[in-house]
Amino acid sequence: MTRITRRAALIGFLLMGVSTGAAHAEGTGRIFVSNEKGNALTVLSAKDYSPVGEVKTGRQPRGMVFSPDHKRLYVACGGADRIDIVDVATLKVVDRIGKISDPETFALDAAGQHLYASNEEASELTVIDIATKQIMRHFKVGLEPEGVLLNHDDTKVYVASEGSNLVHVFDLASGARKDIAVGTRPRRFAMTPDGKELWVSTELAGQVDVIDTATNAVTGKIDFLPPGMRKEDVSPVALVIDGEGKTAYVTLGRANHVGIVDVASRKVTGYVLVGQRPWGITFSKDQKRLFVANGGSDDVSIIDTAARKVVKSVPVGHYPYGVAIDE
Amino acid sequence: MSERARLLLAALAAAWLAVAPAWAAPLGNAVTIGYLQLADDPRYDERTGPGDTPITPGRPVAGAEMGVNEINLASAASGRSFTLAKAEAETAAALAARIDDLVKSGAHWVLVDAPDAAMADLAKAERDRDLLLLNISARGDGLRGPACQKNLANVIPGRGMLADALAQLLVARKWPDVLILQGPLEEDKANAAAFEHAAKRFGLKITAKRDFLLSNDPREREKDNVALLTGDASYDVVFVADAEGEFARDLPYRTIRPRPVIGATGLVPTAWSWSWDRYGAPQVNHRFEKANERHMEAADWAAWVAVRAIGDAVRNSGAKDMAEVDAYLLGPNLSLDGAKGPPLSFRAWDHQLRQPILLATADAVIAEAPLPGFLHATNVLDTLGADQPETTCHF
Repeated sequence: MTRITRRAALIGFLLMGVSTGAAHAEGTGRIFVSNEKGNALTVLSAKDYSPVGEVKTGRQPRGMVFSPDHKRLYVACGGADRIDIVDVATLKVVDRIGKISDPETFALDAAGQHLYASNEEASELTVIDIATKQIMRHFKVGLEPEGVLLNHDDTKVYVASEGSNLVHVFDLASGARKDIAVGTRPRRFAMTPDGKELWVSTELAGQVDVIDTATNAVTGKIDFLPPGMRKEDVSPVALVIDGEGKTAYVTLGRANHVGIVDVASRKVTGYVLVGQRPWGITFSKDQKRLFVANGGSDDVSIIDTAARKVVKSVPVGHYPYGVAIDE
Repeated sequence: MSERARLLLAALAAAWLAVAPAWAAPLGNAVTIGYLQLADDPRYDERTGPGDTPITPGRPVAGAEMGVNEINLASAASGRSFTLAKAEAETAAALAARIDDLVKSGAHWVLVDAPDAAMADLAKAERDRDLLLLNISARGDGLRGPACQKNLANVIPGRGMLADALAQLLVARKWPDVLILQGPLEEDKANAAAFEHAAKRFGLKITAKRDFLLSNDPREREKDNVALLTGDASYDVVFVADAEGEFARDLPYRTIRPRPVIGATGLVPTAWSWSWDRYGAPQVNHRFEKANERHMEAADWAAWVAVRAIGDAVRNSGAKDMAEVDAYLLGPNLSLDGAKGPPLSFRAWDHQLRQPILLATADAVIAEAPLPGFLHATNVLDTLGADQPETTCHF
């Protein structure tokens, strides 16, 4: 980029920030990528996915969630034991919630008031009140908790304990805990739109376990084997289910593919080759695109969901972990 | 043996494991895991380190205790609980009697921390018993070869696996020429032999092999003078076999040629390292360090992972008796998380836990074997140690 075009881009970017300031419900469409070892977020343009900015964060930025009005982006910085709060308009860290032990992923309630964060080293789930920045509740969980998911009406929270091969479900009213035994090294969740099924990736088992949320029983296991790969190369991590509850997409880690699953039949219907060690995966709002953070090749693969093909690969920072889109 | 005969044998072995014998002990809600160690084990003798600092290696029972805490946490909801029944034998001859005590207290699985010869004798004595011994510290390849047996599982990697890991690194780095320095102990000879076997397997060249002595005797200068030991030879790397470590400790930087030292010091192949920082290893290390105020060593890791394997097998097999648990534990569906990357399971042909080997210096893991590019027809982890076609183990 020449100096003049860079300046033009900067001005355009500043104007965009101003002009969309009043209409945040619509969002800027910008794509935020957390770079675990780059200690920064890469921000990509909605139009052509070119880089439009960078947000310096605390060490090891991983999980990201927008506030309901999309004015703020919460970023878990595990290496800094805090959650940074990014102003989406100015792309600056404007505030932080400190003294959170090694946060990695977290969930936000619908009201945007409480953060549910897993603390890997402390074997806890903590509930943080955003307004006061205080920890309101601690839940004891198994070893190395990772994925956190709130059900659709915020009455239950699910936590995956990687080191104990358990999914815990807490009833938020009573605080009661139930444990569900799942496959080896459970990682992340996705819930069907009707809330009846919870899908959890089990990294070392190379599967996705399907949990019936009414009975807390594992009712199915989905295997993956992309062409030319071996079972032990398949390490499922993140997963998303579309708004119709028809199709799920699972990043397969070492296998360098995204697996596509028909939700009703639980059959794998295809694989898309992406970059190395695909980790986080996020839908665009219209569900026409999927953004996959490839931790091993420092880029993001953009998948056309209809064509089931990567339409573009965009270089980002070091060890991209997750993707959040402002729309 | 023909391939067909081998397959038939494998099928028979599988059938033996799969069909629970009528006498198989039932699996209750209170599960006892036995732990047996040899008191008089020279591997844990206090040593004098640099500046007369005493070095007392920790006993791996700490790893087993951590494992039991963890599997209890994971099975709290199922109503099942595990306890560790510990026993110690004063002498190798008394090990078998202690096993009797452990069995009386309800143990079907017994982790054993004993050196090669004692482990082999004990295994032989228990050959026909309805129990499963888990070897967590003996590295002798005989236990995975001619002295193998159905009711013995080797959790710690054998010498052959460790040597293969080093050899793969030398091939990957294109350092093919090796000078071997070998100490006077039986273990030194076994380590050197394992490395020579690995060198042959992976196409390295041993340019010279020399015996060393820890001595100041001028009449023994060919053996105790590092300049003479490492001179008059061409090599990319020096492999030193020194189980005591006293000679190896200050060998680096004293070699005549500027070449790295590997084996007993410098770059060491190991099942585990405190400096390993991938695949959840920092959390495992932190938990161990918090409870024991020392680093987790290879045998600690093996004890931990042995208990975790039992926990996984009890939970995931849906078994009603011990024989069914063992069939799952030693079978292809075990998918054990050892914090080393791939899922771990036992090899059907010699009951060795297949696992990556770490190549570590004093404060960093330089590489994880199998190194990239070392391929295998079914599982790349089986490029380390005796593979099925070459096994000398016949149950």
